[in-house]
Amino acid sequence: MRMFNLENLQIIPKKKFYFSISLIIILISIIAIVFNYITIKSPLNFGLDFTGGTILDLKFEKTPTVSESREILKEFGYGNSVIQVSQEGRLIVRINEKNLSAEEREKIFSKLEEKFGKLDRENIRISSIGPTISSELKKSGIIALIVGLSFIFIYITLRFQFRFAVVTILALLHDTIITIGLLALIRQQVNSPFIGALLAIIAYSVQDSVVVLDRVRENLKLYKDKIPYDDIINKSIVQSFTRSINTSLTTLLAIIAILIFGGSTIRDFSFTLLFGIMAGTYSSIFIAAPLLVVWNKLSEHKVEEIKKEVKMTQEISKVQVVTNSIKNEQYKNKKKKKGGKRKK
Amino acid sequence: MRLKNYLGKLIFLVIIIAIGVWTVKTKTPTLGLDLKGGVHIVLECVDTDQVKATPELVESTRAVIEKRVNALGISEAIVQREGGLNSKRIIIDIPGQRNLKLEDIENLIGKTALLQFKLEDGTVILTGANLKDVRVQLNTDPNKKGQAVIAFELDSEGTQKFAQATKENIDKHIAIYLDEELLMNPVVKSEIPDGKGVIEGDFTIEQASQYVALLKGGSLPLKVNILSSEVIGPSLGEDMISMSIKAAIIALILIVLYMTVYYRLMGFLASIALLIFVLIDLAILILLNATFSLPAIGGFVLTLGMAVDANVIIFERIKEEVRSGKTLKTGISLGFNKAFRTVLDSNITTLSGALAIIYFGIGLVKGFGVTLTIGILVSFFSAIFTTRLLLDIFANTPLAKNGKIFGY
Repeated sequence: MRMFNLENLQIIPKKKFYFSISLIIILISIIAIVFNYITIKSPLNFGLDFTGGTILDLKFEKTPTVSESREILKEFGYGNSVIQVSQEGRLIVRINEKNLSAEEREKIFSKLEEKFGKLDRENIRISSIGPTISSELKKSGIIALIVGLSFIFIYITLRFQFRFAVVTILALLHDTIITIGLLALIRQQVNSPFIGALLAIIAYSVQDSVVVLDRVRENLKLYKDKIPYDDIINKSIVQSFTRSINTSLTTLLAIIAILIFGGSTIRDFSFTLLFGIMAGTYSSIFIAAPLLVVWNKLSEHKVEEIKKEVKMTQEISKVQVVTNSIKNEQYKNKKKKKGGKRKK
Repeated sequence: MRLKNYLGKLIFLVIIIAIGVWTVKTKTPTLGLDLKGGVHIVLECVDTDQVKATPELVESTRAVIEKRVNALGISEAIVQREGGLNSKRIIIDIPGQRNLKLEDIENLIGKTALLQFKLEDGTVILTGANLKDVRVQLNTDPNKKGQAVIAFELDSEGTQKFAQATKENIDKHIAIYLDEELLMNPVVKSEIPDGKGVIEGDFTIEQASQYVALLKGGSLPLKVNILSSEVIGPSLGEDMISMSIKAAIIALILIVLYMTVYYRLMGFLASIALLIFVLIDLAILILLNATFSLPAIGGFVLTLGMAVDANVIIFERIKEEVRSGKTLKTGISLGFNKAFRTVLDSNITTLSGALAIIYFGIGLVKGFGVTLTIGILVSFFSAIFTTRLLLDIFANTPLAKNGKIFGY
């Protein structure tokens, strides 16, 4: 079954490469979000659930055309609504920031019926959402995200280590930003299931990261002081590589099934999930554990630097008088060492 | 053969499966509005200059709306208050029905339905509160054939007041107002002692029925605003159900295929465990009366993918152990022990996310959180108990001698 030898997989030595891929995608995501903010005054193409308004999803005897429907809606002052005709021949009208009254709606229906034949009332969807509900949705979504992340953070700190929790949260933010960025880039319309999808992505990708980090924890116990930190992390990633790929693949298979066969309403939801979980798999392998190595380097650096400084001040106090030239030389030495370490 | 050791566990599993099959076969799941069609309206009671929306008044407003909706002859409508004690929200859920019009319901809700009988000087002698019964009748007057009238009967206090007023106001007008609108202004011919009468007002039968529904419910103590409303036609929902079932089955087949191809017999056993998982998960959701909405089904299909994850984690562990020279039996036992903590930690972290969704999510998103939570719990049981049991049993059969079958 094995296509290549996993044992030789070198992820840590190439971590800069993997980080830069993520950074580039995150950068594109942020640009897309900012671009949307400037052009459409909103980071994402928020749907009815978030903006409030009315959506009419109607089926007539004849297939309506967008232009004729727009003419009719213009008479009622809704000429600038979003009007679409779906593949199944349904007329979908989205009127923003306005709740249609029952009478107005009926008037529009009868006008449309004159043009396109009888409206199938058994097969319609009318949804109207007031501004209170939509702003509540945004708020509760953001709270749910923050609370979910905090739960995860606390749990990992308790069960593992503080730094494990930090890298996991960073990996999760990575997944969230990339997913939101993609939706911003293609201007996919997002409705309340989007919040569910984001939370599901976080819940799922944390599982992926935890599996890798659990291996790190175990290997740290086994090999600490025997093998360098970098190698322990690399070993852990390699050992859990097949798991990471297989667990994601089975879930992706399920999502692809919803995406293809699940109908249009749930399609947006599964589309978000698909990308989020792919980002999650990537981050659990190439971001979370490799970040531990970076953290380790930084903290080692600090320890060394503190040691050096203590030594220096001791020397200075001993000698009392130090000429400028010696001072400069020491400074240069320190700089050299620092630079050398970084290159390594 | 030490199969006897597993007999107790096996019987336990069979009992669970039997309960699962029985539940799925006999009980029908609660479908969400998006799947079966229907009307969902969220109302908010608002404070006015005269009245403040106290919890008691919100409750009586809810009761009045419930009466009105029931008076329309709609079965299975649910009118409930949303959220905590201080919530001013009322939710109306009416399951999918043919010929249901949103505007009928909206009209019904908006009206305060204040019925007043007034004397010429404007004194209110009776209100809707004095009504004992109201009915729609066809007008008996041959000149107004086809028109409907509202026949009413007053309670004892109302009867007394009405008798008194008619006695004192013979040859004068008594006006009948509904929501400040003058319906009729008849002249009193004689005293009416029995508290019965009819209201004429050029009604069609539909209009009269609506007024009757309103009057039966009594007047609304508070002003209400419609925050959101949704109507989904019943046949639209039917399409959605068949599509989601298809999606779930295809997801199941894909996962079973992948697992069996990659992990051979182990994967096949995991697939059986997965089918048992689906059964138990469905049964628990039905027993808990969870609502199956589209996002909930999404959550369900997602847990299908996640349920196998624990198996993958355990299998990879077992493979590692066996590769390092252990026998299959010790490999299974060590693999499970070592993977247990990983599976537990990853499940709990996912669970905390799912619980956050339930706690803070609204409506459909919440349904997703519920299925996800139950799914995670059941999948944990499935991996630790079902898969392990099946593996243990097969490790004791001659099949276990053939290493290839186990895919390592």
